[in-house]
Amino acid sequence: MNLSEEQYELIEAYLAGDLSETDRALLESEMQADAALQAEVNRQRDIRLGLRALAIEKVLKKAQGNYKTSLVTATPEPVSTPVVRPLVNWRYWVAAASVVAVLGIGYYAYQQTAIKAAEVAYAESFTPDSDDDLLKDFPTDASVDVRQQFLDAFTKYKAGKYDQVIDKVKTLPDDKKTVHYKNYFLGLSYLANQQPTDAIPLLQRAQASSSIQLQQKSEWFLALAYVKNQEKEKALPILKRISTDKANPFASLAERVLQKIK
Amino acid sequence: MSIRPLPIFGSDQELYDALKSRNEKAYERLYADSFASFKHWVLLNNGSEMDAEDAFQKGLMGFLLNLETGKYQLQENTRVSTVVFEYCKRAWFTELKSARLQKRSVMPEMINEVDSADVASDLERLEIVEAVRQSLDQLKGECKKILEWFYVDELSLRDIADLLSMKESSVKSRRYQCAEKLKTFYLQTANRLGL
Repeated sequence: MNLSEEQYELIEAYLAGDLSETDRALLESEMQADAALQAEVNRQRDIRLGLRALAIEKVLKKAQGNYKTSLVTATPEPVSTPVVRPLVNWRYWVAAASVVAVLGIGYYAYQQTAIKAAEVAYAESFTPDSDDDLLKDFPTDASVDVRQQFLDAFTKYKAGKYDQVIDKVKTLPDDKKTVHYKNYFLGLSYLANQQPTDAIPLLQRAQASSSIQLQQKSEWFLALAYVKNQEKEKALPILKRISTDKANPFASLAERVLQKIK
Repeated sequence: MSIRPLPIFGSDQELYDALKSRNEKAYERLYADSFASFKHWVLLNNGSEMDAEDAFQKGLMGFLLNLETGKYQLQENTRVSTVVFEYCKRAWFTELKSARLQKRSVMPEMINEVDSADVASDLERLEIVEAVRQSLDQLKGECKKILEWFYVDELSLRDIADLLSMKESSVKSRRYQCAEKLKTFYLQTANRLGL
């Protein structure tokens, strides 16, 4: 059906929801009486749906690009802490500084490459456990009160408020039923909060859990915490162990991290 | 290099509203919240990283289209991230299913269960999108620009008139003529694709 400009504008306004109540009702009754007009409106609706999808796709691709860039640039700014030492003999310090500078440049170049690889491997692999998974792993026999407190913490966790989660979970009692879970969740939150050093001992302790799922998750995130903390020698054996265990849900991820940091 | 911080949406309703208004940061939030866990899930379900990216993109597209057209509306106590994950899972199941048909390989039982009218209608919609994309690509020069600026970039007729140094009424007429051309290409493409 070839449309006149007037008909086109009418359908355009109808599909955009810009027609008055009266005009809309009039057009709809015409569509009911005229199958060709109805088919034309449906066609125009399809074309607009396609154009709308292209508009969404454009923004989506941009967001995807930004997300990927953020993974690569997720390297935290190095924090340099000034160290104040008494200057006993300036000649000694000049000499020492020259040696350090010569050795340091080579080591720095090597280390930056290794750090970059570790950061990329970490950024690509670390996914904070989803709130659904967190809930799934929560001990079913915990008291209602403790469960409620953890649920509150999950909400904060989901919102990315890791500082608040840490403050909250730290205050929860070391109840026998939930202590391993607490260590795991706290460790995970520290890791998500870019504090791998604090995460490591907690994730180590969480592996004492009787739940295989919790053991596996704690082990995986512990490996990632070591990667993040530039402790490659500690991360490697754990990652090797996980990657060779085909029943481990993190096996393929561990393999990929291994390839990146080796 | 510092990372641009992503907004934290106070509630799922806030995130939903931002997505509905096509807020780029809200889209990024979906990637940041859901992509890594989805990728992990796809890797555990016979897929590769590239498969995960494709399925995530398709699932998100389906979700966002439904959201914008009102087919999906946020229910109380529903997490947007959970819904997105479901859409993306469905996109991957559909992909696996079509691969199974091609290779006649065995499909896990859980995957057969997701075949539904919704999946069929989503797929049909993706074909319509593809037909529109191809039709738009057949348009040249000014016509393509006018339709893209108006429908994709959502510029007003006045803005387009400024860009083309034309009168607004002329742009309006050109939009009509170009839309009719687009329709002609669309009918041919849809016919060829069997829509």
